Amino acid sequence: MKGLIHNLFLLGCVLYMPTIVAALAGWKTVRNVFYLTAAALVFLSAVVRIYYNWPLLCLFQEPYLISLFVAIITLYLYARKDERSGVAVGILSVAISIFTLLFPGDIYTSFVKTNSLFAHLFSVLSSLARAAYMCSAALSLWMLIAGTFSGNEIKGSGQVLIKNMIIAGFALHSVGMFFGALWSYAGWGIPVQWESHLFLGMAGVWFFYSFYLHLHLAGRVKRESLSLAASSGGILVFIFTFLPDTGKLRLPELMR
Amino acid sequence: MPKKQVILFIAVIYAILFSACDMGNFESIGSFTVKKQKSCTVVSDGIGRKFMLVPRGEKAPENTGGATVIYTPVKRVIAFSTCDVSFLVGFGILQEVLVGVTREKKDWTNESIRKAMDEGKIVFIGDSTLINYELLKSVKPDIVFTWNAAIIPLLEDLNIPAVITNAQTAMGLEAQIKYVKFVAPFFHKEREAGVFSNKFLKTVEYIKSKTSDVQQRPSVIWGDVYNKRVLVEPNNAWVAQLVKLSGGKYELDDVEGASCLEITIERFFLAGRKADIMFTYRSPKTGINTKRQLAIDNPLMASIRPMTSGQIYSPKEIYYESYHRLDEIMLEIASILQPEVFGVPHYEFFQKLQ
Amino acid sequence: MSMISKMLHALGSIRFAVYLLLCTAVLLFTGSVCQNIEPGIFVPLNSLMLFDWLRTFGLENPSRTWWFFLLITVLLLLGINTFICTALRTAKIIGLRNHKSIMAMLFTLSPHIMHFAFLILMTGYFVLYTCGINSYNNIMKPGIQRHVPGSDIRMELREASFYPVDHSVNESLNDLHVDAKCTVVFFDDDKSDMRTAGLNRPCFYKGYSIHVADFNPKKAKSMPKDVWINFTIRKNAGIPLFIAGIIIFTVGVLLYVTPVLSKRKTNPDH
Repeated sequence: MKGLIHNLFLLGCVLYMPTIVAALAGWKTVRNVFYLTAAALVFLSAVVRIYYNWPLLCLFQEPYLISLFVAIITLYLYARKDERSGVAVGILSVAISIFTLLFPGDIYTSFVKTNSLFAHLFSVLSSLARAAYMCSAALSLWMLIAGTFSGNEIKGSGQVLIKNMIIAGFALHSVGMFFGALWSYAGWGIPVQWESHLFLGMAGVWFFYSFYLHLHLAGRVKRESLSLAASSGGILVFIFTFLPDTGKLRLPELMR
Repeated sequence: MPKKQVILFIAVIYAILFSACDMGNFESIGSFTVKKQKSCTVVSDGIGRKFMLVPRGEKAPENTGGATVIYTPVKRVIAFSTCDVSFLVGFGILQEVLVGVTREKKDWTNESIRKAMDEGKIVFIGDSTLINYELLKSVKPDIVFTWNAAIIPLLEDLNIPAVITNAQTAMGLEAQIKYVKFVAPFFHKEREAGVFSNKFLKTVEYIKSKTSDVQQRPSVIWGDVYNKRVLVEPNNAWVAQLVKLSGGKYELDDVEGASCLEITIERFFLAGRKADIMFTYRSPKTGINTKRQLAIDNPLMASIRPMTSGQIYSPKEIYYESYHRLDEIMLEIASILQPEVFGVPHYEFFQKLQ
Repeated sequence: MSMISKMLHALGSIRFAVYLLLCTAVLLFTGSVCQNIEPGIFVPLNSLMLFDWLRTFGLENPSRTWWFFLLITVLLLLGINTFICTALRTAKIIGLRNHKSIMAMLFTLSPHIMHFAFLILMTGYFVLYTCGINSYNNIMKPGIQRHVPGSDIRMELREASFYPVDHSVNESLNDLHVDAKCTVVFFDDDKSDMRTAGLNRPCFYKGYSIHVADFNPKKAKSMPKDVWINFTIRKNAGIPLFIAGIIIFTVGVLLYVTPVLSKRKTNPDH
């Protein structure tokens, strides 16, 4: 079954390839079918992973959950008929999934203290938050690039979507970290665990997005500056809260 | 806000912060700490329990800050770990202070320990998982050095302090080298400990200087497979750091945590397919002296590269009793990895499985 | 404007807040890098108090811990800034309450509810790491009594039961004890009281929280089979502050997020 978890994820990533080909060729229906199938496989992989480890938590499963949540956000944007945003976030979902596939970090066996609802909620909510942040960064970057090439000013409506995503991410991040703190308190008697540098990275991201959300109060800030800040946030999320959960470059078993 | 006021405000904060700090002579050795104070030394063991080492004849301060008082030099000690016993050998005080061990006479290679056990000076108090507490009580130890925290409550009932000598994360190279400085204050052997750690540090510098230009770096893994469970030394362990310094490449360099860390079989096999050299945990005492015997005992290991075309080394019993000769152990590991640089290994501490 | 008024205005300014928030983020990222390089310096924070850690590990490794000292300063300034700014703005908003509905008021106040909760959280963390009773490695076997630190109360581990899992697909989990439950009896003067504690389920008694840190046996077919539970015992005023901060912050988040995400704009501040 362990092989099934990784093979389902691999198959999902493989199906992203014809998705890209179909997207470049302009075959929207084909693109959508492949993407939906790939997302479904990534979802199945996550479900099997959780079931395989239940009631314990699979360590370093977050990159896989983030890949899934970014795919879900892509589908949500597409369902809202926001094609451009869907494409931007779709590109992110492919990149994140392939990175996760090639740099897996789930090499440790779980430990019994992860048998806690708080632990599972922490993992899921913090992954969803990171996915939201990364999506907002992808949208910001898209707008910056599109704005630069087209010479047009960045639209206000695009900024609202980015800000809403960041607000949602910030809310989820806060609640996720609270569940993490409650788990830590229940299990170890203290709300913070200092074993991993991931805690400081997550706290840093939280303060960065607090900075972003207060930025507009500090005076007139250009839309380009806000987009730059949002894009930078995504990079920081990737470096400080995504990379620590990944591992060495390792080709999947089927590809060796 | 005027700059001067800001600077003054920050200066006041730091003044308050640093006034709470008493520099003292503090040294951290991995998870262990040693802090010399005016009239005593305060140490903390592998799980953070504090001990106040007070010289015999002096009075312990009224406020010990929750630390257990131990009068030094310790005259009677029981040691679970061969590592701690080896430092007593190194300090030259084995016969005077060691009164109990958890290995039978036949399991020791050190002649002075075997002789002392024959004479009844050192008592086998039972296997570490099955201690004879009556026997332990009868040898009247001042302290017990142990890795097993579970015996703390029983020893507390007997008013015998237990010092935990292992930690939750694997000891790095620097911590392993300096660990002798944690043991030394119990026996007033700080000077000797300084000599040992300087010798070990010089060996590390020597090894580093000789391997800086090495081109061919063999891939190494350190661990074993037991009943489908894989236990390895993580990247932060001293052996992994030594491998890297000695001109090797540690294949499990993304694994962090405690010593004998459990990882997935898939991760182990990924490393095993690339490794040229493997060090196991099993000593010849387990009866495994050849690759074939290892493969029969554990078929899962039959396909890894050290088994098929590389080298496998297992530590001899003397390895576990020779932490006071850490410099020689390090040189032997270096010579196994880079024989052209350090010469052919003497195989005093490791055996090569044929 | 008087000197004090100028100082309050400067300390409570939004621009200053924005700089402080960015500074905090940068220091935390720096800390993440430092901790990744040498994690062993920071692990003792799991059991040491803040000032104990600062004067030992902190001062011993200045190249890896300098950011922590700066962070304390920045967080202190951020706390002062948040307090002044939030207090002033909340007073202003409450002054305008006659012109608004209750829901509109709550939405307008929601960022400031979060700000106050943030202050309570930071205070809780500070209290947690500077005072209280924190006792680790209280290993107990059934029938053995020990004193609860800082009191005359004695506690005894009465019963301990362990729950293995019978996993249909994951063999490595089979027989593993994934839960432990124990009965702890507290003797206080002539009275005795029983509580149940479990893995990730502390029990509480007269301000103390008793947490199961570790236990044995770990597997159903474990050797050795001797039963012991390692308790962490804490009594710290920081915990109720911390929990209160979490609850209030979550309420603030919910109040803020719901109207924003349903596109209702009722806050003139925004």
